[in-house]
Amino acid sequence: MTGTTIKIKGTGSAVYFLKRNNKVIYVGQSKRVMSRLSAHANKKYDEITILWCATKNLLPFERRMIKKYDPKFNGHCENPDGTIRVRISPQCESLLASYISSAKLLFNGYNVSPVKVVNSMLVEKLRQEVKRFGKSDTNKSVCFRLDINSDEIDQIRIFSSHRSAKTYADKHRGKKIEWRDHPSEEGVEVSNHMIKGVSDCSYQIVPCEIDPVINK
Amino acid sequence: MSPVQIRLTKDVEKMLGKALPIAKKRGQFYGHFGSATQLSNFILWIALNKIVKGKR
Repeated sequence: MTGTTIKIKGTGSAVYFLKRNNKVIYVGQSKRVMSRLSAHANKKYDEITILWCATKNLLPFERRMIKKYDPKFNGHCENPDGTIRVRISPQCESLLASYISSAKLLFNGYNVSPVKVVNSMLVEKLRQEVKRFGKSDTNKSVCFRLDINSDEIDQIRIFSSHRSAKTYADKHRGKKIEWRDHPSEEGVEVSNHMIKGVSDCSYQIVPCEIDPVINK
Repeated sequence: MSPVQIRLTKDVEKMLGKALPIAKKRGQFYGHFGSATQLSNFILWIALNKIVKGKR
């Protein structure tokens, strides 16, 4: 922006376009455009176009423009309609497929879409988790606890403290295990011990496909 | 197999936005939830495991 003079009339909310060589490289929106523009100094643009816009129209207008111009620096916004897409991991995908096939049988061919299934499951679980931890966030000793009846799951993985996971699990059979934020206090051994066929107890678990980051 | 992409509804998206910072704060076990995708996959895996394996 060295040596560039900008003359702007008007104030307030706007959608702005940063251009380089007559090509739109970024589309943004702000309620205070002038202060927002200073954040884009690193984008090396040579022209700015500002379209003043009512606040309520900012977001839809910006999205429409992103969709239209597909700017280089808006690359993170994969979906200009503003929705998030998540990529389902292969483990979830295979489970989802078996769930949907059984659901279709159950509903006599009723078309169950993965999108609906995923969303309904996520909404249910997230509601529980946000409710459970949203308020007690400062309580360090409470972790992301999921109590699962072991007859519904045949494989769990427990990351143990100084004992081996098996011994630890056996000792606490029938009890709920609470993981702490600093398991090193008990002497951490990074053990990816997997326990199969555990019954009559519920554990707090870390699922097998995600390796936790354990700080020693 | 090409990866399946799922579009989240607005209510899920909103809750995911709340849950993600909570999950990130939760110490070493949660450090790996760097994105909405990871967190949603984690939750889905749990939920689907319960249902699918419970029916066997």
